[in-house]
Amino acid sequence: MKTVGRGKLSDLLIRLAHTCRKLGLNVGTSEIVEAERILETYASLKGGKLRLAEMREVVKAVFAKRVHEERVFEEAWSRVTSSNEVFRELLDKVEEHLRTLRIGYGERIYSKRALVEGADKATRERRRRAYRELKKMGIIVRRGGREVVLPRRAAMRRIAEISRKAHSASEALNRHWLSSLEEGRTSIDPEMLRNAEIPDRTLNRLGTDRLAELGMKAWRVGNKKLAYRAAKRLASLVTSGTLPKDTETTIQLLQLTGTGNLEIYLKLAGADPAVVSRMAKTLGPEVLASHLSSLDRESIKRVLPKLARLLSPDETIRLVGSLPLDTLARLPRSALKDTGRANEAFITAARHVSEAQNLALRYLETMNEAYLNYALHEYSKAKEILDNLDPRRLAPPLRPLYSHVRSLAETLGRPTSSPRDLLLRLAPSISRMDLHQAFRLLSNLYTSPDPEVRREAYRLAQRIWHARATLLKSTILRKWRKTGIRGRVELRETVYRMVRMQQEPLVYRRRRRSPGIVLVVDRSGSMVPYATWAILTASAFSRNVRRLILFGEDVDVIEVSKGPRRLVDLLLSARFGGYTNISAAMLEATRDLPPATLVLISDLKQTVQAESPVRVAERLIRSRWRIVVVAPPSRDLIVEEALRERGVRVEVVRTPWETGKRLARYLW
Amino acid sequence: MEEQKRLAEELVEAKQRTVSRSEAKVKAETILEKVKSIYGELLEPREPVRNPEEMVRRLRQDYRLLVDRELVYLVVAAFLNGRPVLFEGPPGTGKTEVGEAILSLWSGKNAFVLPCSENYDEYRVIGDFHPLMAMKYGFNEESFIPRPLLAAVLLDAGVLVDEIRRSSEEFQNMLLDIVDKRRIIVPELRRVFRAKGLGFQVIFTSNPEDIAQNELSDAFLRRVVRVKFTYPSPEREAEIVRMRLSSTPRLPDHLLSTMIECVNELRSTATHKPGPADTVLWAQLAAKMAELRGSSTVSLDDVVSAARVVLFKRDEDADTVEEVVEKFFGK
Repeated sequence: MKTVGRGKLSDLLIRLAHTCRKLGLNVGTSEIVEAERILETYASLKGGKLRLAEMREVVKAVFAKRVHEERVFEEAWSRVTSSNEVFRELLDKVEEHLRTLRIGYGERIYSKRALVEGADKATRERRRRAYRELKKMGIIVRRGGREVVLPRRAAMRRIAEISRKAHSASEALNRHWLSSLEEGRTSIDPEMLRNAEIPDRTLNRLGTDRLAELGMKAWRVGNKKLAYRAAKRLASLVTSGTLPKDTETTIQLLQLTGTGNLEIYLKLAGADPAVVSRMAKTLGPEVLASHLSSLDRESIKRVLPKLARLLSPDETIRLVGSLPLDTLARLPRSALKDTGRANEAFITAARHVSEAQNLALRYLETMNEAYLNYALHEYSKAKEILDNLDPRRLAPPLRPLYSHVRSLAETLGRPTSSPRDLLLRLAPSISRMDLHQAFRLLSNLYTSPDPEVRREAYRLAQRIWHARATLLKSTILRKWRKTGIRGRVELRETVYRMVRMQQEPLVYRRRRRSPGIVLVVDRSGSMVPYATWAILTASAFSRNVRRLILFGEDVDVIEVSKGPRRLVDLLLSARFGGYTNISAAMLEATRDLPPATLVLISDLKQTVQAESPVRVAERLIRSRWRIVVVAPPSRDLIVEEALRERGVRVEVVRTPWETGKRLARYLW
Repeated sequence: MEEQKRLAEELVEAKQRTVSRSEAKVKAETILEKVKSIYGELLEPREPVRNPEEMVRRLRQDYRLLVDRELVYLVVAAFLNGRPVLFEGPPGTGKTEVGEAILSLWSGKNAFVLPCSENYDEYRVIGDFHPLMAMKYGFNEESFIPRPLLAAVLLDAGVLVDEIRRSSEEFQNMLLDIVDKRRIIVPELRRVFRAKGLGFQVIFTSNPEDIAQNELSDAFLRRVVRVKFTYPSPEREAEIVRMRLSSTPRLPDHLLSTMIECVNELRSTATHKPGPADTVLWAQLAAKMAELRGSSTVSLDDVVSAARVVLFKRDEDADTVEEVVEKFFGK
């Protein structure tokens, strides 16, 4: 049991306060005095000396006042109280390893083989282990293409860094390894995984690819338990929409551990069609086909060509019946063979019609007559087929599609008087699209050379905006009731004024202050659907948005107060993509405003060299801002974790539509 | 001659001073009497308990509360140094109950509880003027209505300020001034009321995770001693539930431990996180159901149907709760 004598108490508290200040927690002199007084009272109540752990709790109660400050305090406490035993122990270890390898500080390693060579097997094994440990600790590093041992001073610093916070050398080493694993600094050494205990915290901070790699390596060296845990975490990440780049390894791990399910496999296939045939082998192509329609359009388009080759004619027909029309263009011709003449002809016609529709839209965008001619050509081909087709000879799954294709063909086939007329006819298909796709299309049309088309595109954009905003509002408002405070008389103030014989003595109660949210929206390429919904929501509740920021590398401040309709202009004219500077955006957003709530819509991936968003958030929170992040599944996990620790609320949304709903909770 | 005149003047002045002082005394008594007649009944005075060990024992025995010894020591140490205490933690961890009990034991009188809301101000907590009386007599003792905080200062009782984050910053600053200097100024009455004993102490409670509320300022936080409340360990939670539950009908151990596992799972998944208070309520409800059935042991069905009532708090959590309950109880 460690105890502290009275004489050392103030000394300890002062050192602790200094360390706290160094770490960003401002502890005042009055707090040092107060902590000492309370500690003394506490000790006299307990009658005697205090245990170190008890002391920590008491001092923490005085020094740390917020959740993230507790973490800073803990860090400062361990820095001040943990002795330098661990440091010595580690230093001894490093020097012993260096002796084993027969090299010194600052030396270059010309050949690894020569370094770990030895007369007998035991020596070789010992040297190999020493080399591995030194690399793991970062004492041997790669510089300029060659491996070198750090110079003595740098090595000391590195050891001090590792030994911080730890109670023993092995704990320090283990922690160092885990943190380098989290940050992706080291490649995963399978030998280390054999008996490794990796806490959930670390697993939660790994990205999908790293998890897959770790899981597979753990599986290979026989640490099945770790492999299962990695696979489970991986599965939950994929379910929430975070997709890996290395789909092969991911699927391999999920299949080995049996943690995957159909939904996960479909998502993975949607991301990387190269794995479709492999998956079809294990799951059966017909299973994949029957669930394909649950994916989004882009993924269907990617998977369809691969999958169609593996299906029998009957299955192909059933698949076609369940898919949206515009994805059919990706169906390979070879897959249509043997489906029966009528069916084959109809599917071809449907492809022509959908192609004609795409071309017609292209025409409106560019006003290039060639596209219109192509569209008419496609249409005439479709018409020829459809005219000679007897719908009764179609296979049952295709019959519902027939009338749809037929009516679409008729809409396109009527002679057009003007481009505007054509746009009007296509309007229903456009308003059925996803919000961001519709707006992307319309913003292209908005740059069309024909003023009539521009005007109509704008009108259509407003109509779509209005319909979606109304839908959103009605979904949100159903759950909320207004408080009818307005109109009630504030009695006390009124009487005061009456007593003082003031003019107009009646005082009404004020309405509850509106929240006045500052909304910061990321416009990087991957955020388009989410950003579109966020702006839509902001426009629906524009009265409560104090400031709207749209940022990429540069930061635009948008006046919302001039009316929600202006946001439609914004949606039509905003260019998405480019670099992202979250920190600058947050600083710009909060400039000259009193603390309130800041809602950030972003995937937290900062792609420019600037101050880390975590530090900016920390500062803002200290100056009493409340920060909420609404992030898509593909967010940066490490930044997310760091933000959460500092008291930021992070909400992960699965679909763009959900962004609107979540945001409305803060705006309304 | 001059000398005499000066002396006479001084005499008159001194007389006036004594008169105003004695008047003030009379007034003080009237306010004190008012306070006593309004709040006296609520206090139920008894022997104050200021020894931490004794306090822990009494908390367990009289209030049925399991409180860490370290926590009680810390609170008492803070009180002895004249510092208010801030209890912070998730809902349902017993902040309010523990705070009220400690204050009541400390001052030997039932504590005053101020549940905060945004439009709380000094008139609601210190005192107000009756509008009609004020019109008739002016702003004086006659028309003054003392409110709980003033009553606590005068009667030497503890005050629990519940959910301090919901109140405005102005209000927090006013409270701090009062707690720091242990006195209340009422400018309309031209009076200062001072706390006489150590009994007047303040505990604040707050839940930092709650949405739609204010942050606490640095100035405020610097002046309080912050005690963090967390969810108890499963064993401790079981102990708490057992303590709160009557012995019949009997709740089997395995059911209780599954219930606690279930609640812990919900704490990590649902948006509305059930606290130990919810666990207790759940157990009590299940026991009640068993009793109504006339059975002497709580059955699985009782627990599951009580869960449906207790754990469903928000619409968006409905699926999660359903899933978790099914996972642990198979129903």
